[in-house]
Amino acid sequence: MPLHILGPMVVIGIISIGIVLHLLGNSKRLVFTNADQVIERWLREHPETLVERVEISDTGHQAIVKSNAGIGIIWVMGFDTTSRLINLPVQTSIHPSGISIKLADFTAPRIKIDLNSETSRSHWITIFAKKEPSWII
Amino acid sequence: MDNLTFPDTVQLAVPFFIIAILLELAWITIKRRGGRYETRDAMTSVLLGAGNVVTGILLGFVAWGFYNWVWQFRFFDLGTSIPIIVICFLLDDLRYYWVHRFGHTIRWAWASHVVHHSSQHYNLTTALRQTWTGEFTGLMIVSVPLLLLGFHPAMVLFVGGINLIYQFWIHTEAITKMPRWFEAVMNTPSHHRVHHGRNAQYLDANYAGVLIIWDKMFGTFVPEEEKVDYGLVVNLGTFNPIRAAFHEWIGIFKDITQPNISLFDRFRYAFAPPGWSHDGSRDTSRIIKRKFVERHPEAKGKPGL
Repeated sequence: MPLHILGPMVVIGIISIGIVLHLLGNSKRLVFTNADQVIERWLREHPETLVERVEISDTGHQAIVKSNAGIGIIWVMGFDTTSRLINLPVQTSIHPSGISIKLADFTAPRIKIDLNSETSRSHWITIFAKKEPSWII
Repeated sequence: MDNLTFPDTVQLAVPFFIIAILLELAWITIKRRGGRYETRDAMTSVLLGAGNVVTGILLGFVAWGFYNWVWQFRFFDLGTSIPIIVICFLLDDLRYYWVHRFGHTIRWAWASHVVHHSSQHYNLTTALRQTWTGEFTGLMIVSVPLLLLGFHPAMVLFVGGINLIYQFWIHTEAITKMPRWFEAVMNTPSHHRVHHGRNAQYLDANYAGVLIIWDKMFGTFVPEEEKVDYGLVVNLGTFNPIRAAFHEWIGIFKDITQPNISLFDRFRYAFAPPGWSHDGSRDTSRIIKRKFVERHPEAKGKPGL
């Protein structure tokens, strides 16, 4: 197929699929509403761990998990989730809607955590900043 | 004969791919079953598919040049009759089985193929989520026997394209099971859903392209029983197609350049099964299965475990 036909067809096709998907409501994101939901999702990727504590961010799009294997972060990817055990301390930065953490992970280099209040921001920063965080909820 | 050409089937199929995706989406939306779509996930898939076409155009000369170089050493010239094309298709499907199996069991090849498994969804866009780095794996070498036997390079590429097009429609949850005779011989949505599963029993199973008989012959067939959990053992934390395309190559580079490991360990980081590590800090599929059985002894002996 000539490139001058294939190229525009691919571009128009991709844009059309994106628009249709969005208009049909497929851009909605999962929201964590309770700890059990977080634990179920966490165990999907870390089946050998025991979850001790869970704390969910203000929008329900991220949660911090304390397990017997260490501290982890789980976050929504559309309707799904992904998670990482993290080596503390990690670098954090503040942004208007919360904080970001930087991981040495090419597939998850920066995770935004939605936190509305100054109190919760400083609480989460404290957790990420210490090698052995004290867990205060 | 040396100037033989066949149509580029994959490029010709692009309009069909787009229409089929929209039809599957309509089906799922109307029926409220048969799969699910997520905008960013699907966009990542189609962008990776478009990138695959672009890299095919830019780097296709590598395989083409290699095939033509091998072709000059052929033992026979089998011509282009219909029976020869059919035989070439069947043997190429066997070639695909082994390339695909190597793609899951050798990290160097997995670095390219992992892209296709990086979605947590399973729909027709997942079929388009293809590698940009296939030429780097060197697995074109698996086609050498076909070429030496006398199947023309253009024919080998043509039947390979047909094979890929066949595999498009099996990336769906909208079809539960095909008729029993079809399931017995052909690769189907059910068989291929298993292949995309991250459930312990589904890891490293059902490598078939068109015919599922290869998995049955070589002991890698696992039937679909429990619900499939799609994606990678460690799922991506990004929808960025560039990160999806290159992440495992970056991982290999970091692993082989780390200090204080032996040369043999560096070699194994590149060519051992995915998940191998010098200190046992990661799990290969085999270890994941063993640990799963330790946690669920009742599952011991099930297919895939």
